[in-house]
Amino acid sequence: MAITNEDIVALASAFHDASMVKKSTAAEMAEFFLYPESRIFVLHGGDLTLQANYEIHQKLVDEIHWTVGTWDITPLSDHPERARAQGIVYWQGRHVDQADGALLKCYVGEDWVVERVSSGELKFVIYVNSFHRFLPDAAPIEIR
Amino acid sequence: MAITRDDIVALAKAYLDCVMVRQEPPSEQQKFFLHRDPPLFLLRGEDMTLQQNYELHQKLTDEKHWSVGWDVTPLCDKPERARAVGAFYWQARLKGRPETDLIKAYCFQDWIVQRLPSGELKFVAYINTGHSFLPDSAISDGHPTGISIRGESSR
Repeated sequence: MAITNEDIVALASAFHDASMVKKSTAAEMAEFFLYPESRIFVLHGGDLTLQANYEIHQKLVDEIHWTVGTWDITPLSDHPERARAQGIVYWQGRHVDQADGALLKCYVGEDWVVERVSSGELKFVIYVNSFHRFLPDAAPIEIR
Repeated sequence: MAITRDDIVALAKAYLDCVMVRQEPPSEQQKFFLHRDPPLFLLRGEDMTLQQNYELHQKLTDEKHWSVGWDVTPLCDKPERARAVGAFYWQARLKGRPETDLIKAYCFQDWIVQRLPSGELKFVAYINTGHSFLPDSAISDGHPTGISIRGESSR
């Protein structure tokens, strides 16, 4: 069963719902990854443990996200079934202590390697943020 | 101080000497990495821990390696990071096999590296994007001797 754009959009939606909307814990986010001690590699800065990612999103409210355009999906192998997915996610939020404050608005470059496990679920093998591009009117945030 | 191709060649040599030539344990390999217990990602599956990498090389002898070429792309200044995409040639022999029975492969790499304040380069992410075994290589992908490295070609 090939890994499709729809699979990746669904994975992106589920993971970002978990981290941004449901404010899931690091342990809950780890369920999306093949390896329990995974990191989010931020190419242009400090990498994030899942705990650090959790803490970033604890500082934000009103978070929304969506996939921009389509993902570029490159099949890698059949056994295990793996693909590389490269795409962009729009991310918006607001600092928790600035309820009427400016919105954080950002395009996030995503470069993932995913694997379909025997249950049929997709898991992140490698999760890379290749860029963060903040919009000109975006509120500042420290990602590192 | 920009991260140069020479820096990457030196890092590759130092790390691969540790792994292949001196066959050092995971605690020594760990010194080359920024994060604790880093996986060695094999893009097509069979990712390895440093312990598994150590055990794989324990099965081998007469290992040699050299860089084939690297493209180095600066990523950021603080911290100083670069992406290094390239390959190294790898040659080895399974212990107990005839001296002519050599494994020969090009190993393709995609590394993110970071320079520490000490000046040292560390691996942030170590991704092996593929192995291509030479036509006269003693083994290739799926060889039944216990060494298991996915390759782009099967014989």
